[in-house]
Amino acid sequence: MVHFLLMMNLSLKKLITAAGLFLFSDLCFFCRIRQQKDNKLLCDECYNRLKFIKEPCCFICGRPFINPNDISHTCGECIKTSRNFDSSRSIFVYESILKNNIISYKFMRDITLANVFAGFMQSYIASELENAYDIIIPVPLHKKRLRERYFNQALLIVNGVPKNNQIKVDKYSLKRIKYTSPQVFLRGEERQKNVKGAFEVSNTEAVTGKRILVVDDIYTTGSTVNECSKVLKKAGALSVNVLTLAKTNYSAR
Amino acid sequence: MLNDFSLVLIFAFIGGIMVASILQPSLNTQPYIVGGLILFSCSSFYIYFFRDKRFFKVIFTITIFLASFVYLQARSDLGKQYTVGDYASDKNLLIEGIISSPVKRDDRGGVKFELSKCVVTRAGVKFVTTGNIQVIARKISHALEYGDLIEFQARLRIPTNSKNPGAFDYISYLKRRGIYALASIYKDDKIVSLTKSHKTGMMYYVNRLRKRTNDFIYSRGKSINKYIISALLFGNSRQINKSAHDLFVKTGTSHILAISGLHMGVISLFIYYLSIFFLKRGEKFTLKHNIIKIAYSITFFSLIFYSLLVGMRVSSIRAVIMIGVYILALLFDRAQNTLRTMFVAAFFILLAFPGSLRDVSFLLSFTAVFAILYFYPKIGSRIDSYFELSSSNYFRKRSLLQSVLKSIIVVFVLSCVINLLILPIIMYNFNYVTLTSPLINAITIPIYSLFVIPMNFVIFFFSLFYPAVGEFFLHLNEDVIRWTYYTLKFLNEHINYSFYTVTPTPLEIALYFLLVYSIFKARERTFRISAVICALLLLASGYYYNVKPYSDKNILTVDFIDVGQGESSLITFPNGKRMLIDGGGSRWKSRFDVGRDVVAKYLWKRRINKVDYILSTHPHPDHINGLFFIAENFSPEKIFIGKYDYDKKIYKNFLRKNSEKIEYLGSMNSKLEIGGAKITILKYDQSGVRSRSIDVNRSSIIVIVEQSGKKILFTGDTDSVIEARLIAKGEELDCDVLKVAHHGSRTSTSDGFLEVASPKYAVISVGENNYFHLPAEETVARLVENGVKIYRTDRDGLITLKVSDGEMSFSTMVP
Repeated sequence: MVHFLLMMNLSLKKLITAAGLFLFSDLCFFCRIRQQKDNKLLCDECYNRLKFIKEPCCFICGRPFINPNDISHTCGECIKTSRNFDSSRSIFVYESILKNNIISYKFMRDITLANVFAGFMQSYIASELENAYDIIIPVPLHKKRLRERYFNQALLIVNGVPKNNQIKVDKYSLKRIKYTSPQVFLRGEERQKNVKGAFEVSNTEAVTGKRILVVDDIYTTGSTVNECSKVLKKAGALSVNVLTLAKTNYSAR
Repeated sequence: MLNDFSLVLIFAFIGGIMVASILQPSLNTQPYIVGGLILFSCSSFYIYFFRDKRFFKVIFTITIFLASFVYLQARSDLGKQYTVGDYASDKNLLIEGIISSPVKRDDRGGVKFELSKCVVTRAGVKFVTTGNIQVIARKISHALEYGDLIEFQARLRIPTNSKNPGAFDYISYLKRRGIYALASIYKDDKIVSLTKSHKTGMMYYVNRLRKRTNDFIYSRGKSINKYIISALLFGNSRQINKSAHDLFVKTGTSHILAISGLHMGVISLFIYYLSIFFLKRGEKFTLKHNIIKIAYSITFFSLIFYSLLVGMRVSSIRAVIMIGVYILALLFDRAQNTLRTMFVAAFFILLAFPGSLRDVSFLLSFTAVFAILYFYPKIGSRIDSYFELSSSNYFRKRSLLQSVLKSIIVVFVLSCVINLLILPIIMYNFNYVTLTSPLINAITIPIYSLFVIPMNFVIFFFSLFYPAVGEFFLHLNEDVIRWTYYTLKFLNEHINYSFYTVTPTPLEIALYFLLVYSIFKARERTFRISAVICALLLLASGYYYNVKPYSDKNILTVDFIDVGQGESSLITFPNGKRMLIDGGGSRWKSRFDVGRDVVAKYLWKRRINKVDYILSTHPHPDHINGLFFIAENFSPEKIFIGKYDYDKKIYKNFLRKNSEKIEYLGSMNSKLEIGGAKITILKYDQSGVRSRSIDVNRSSIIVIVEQSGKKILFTGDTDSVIEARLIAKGEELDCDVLKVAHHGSRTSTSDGFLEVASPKYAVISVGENNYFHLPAEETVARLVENGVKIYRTDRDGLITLKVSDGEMSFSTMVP
């Protein structure tokens, strides 16, 4: 039997994949009705509804400009307020289909979606942010919040990343020491106050002199990642860049 | 969904098995189907390599469809020869075997179990057999256990079906469970325990575990509710007393007592949250591993263990497959459409048990799940939007009151949708409808699923490690069950509305489903039209079946119903009035009621829900037991019975329960006329009735029904002594059709009587392979000698006699 399989150039993994395909088909992870196209994990229709953030955008916060003919520069807000991170980028605009799916992922614990997001993260990092950093640090959750949610949503979406790039994901060095109320319920300045002093670097050696990529799921005002960056910089990080899956639309806020 | 090719194949497979199990093609058709299969599979390979792929898909789908046809036949017919059923005979045999199922005890000290790996000794030679024997033993003091090797003497019987239209297919039902023969042990000393517990395999230890907890529950429980706990935990519902069981049935909540899909679902949720509860304690562990996946794996393996614990019943394995497919998709990181997952699970279940489509529990489970996944979301989204709950405004804070209100509405609506869809299945199989069951279920199910079932597991756990604590929880759970029981009782008395109904035809069921589907899609105009059409067609078929039969003029019909060992005949008079002479009945008290499960089942199948007259020839259990149900539920106008000085409980009960409708047939000859048919009741001897069985038989009422010159003589269980007396008295006994007395016993139907009666046809109502070896060879020989054509219910099944314009025609269920 084994010989036969080897002759047929089939590995066990291929067989399992085939069985999985037969049983569960390759349904689009978002709509769960239509089929995926070219291993994108999504169908064309859902994929086309995603809104990618493209240049021109702000150098620092990554906010896209409305006028497509603009040249990328530092936006007014970033000039006014000081940011602790060097730059921040997001892959998508946080709206419609993506918003619903991030909510099902994060709050309804639909962890199969993590793979989809991780796929986007992986290709974005590979194509846009190559060699710009040494370690990836997902924004940590407080112990108590982790217990409530069962998983760290930022961690799961970078899980597949180091496979292609030889970069370590550091889950333990940055700690959240303050149990804060979820940012979604707060606005603007309240958010900044909310996360103030929430983070702590527990392992300074791992951070000192490193180029760090901080990863989170959603970027709204940037308070959370800003606070993270502040702590990391204080611990001696060489540079701190931020990558989030989605960024809320400023005008809507 | 149809662009999903693997799903199309799954549909083809399910469809093939569905069509095959509805049509039940005979073995003669098999060569054609196999031929077609080979043809299609060859052409599909040819097309795959040489022609275009789309055409291949069509051909391949048909191939799978045919393959499933063959698969069903192969699984049900092949390899099932030379089973233990072949050794069935009317002599006592020495049987040796291993108890392969949990030993179920009932509330009267009887036990029931399955025996496998049987060795049958016949004429001094030992035969090793396949297939299981279901053994019922009454009043057993032996402590029999799973895994025991036992030896006993008993008669081996093949299970029998009642051969009436619409009857339950008991043989196939048992075959699906691997049972090919039945044995009854009446005396304790007939069992010899050869080896105590065959200590092999994991199952032995699993069963010891079950026994330990079961003993704990029985010994420490303080009320009869401990039996409900045991039933919920291990699926042994035989010890629940009849009144409690009836209450659950009446309120439409009896599914709680079985290890159903819902039950397994509740258990898996419980195990999932329990394991999550412990897994999430470790922060590092949570970061390092995906605890959701781990918890799901734990759940899956626990479910397998649990289904071992309840004795690997088909229903539990089904649930394991269903939940397992769901969990598997999750573990393999597959996007899943829950509806699709359900079909995949159905595919696996049918692969494992192709006969499942004829299992009521399978149909009910799947229809319920289908209702939840397909129909409910259409209403559910409205409830969500009413409470402004959707993923776009997930973060709106809701008050506790609102959440509670919402969950109550959701449970109720869910229950309504499920009941709406399973209604025709319930009507078809149980003929019993509880209109209020959505409400009662919405109240009961949350209590059972949120508290009672999880608590059972706590009891299970503590009974093994810390009995004192287990006892506390046991008593607590018993109390909760008692309160729920009182609630159920209250609801049953005050708001429950349930009734028996006639059996719908498959066409009506299809129309009903189409109607429901159309109503759910009523936004589109075509579906509104189809809904109206379906509703009209349903009304028309209702009219056709319920009104039309009364217009059959000038025909008198007699149906001799196959009630097993017993007797029951239905006369339909030319004006549509009906009379039932006797109702069959079983000698043993059991949940199986011949009146309900055979006679009424047949009547319902014929769309009859009213029997105008009932006549009981004599109060023996095999004639009167079945009449209790008919008298209660078929609203008879009059019940004719003889007046005896007979003090057996059964007779007194029958009189008491029907006191208003009873009409005693006096000691003189009486004549009745119903719809042009003349009924003569001959004088019967009632003076001699005491408690002796023979006296009761002799007191049987003898009836002659005459229609357009043809006479049918019903003789009850009378014997030759009475026959001689009737002849001596010069009674008019001449007839065309004789219902042979006393199931063809040798003491009745004497030569002299046959000479006087001179029937052309004789009908013997007798059970297949009955214990008494009836009909007696002498009687049959006497009838044959007199040139009488014999019809027998044990061979022919239902026998229908039609008398119209002096012509008689017989038709039988088994050709």
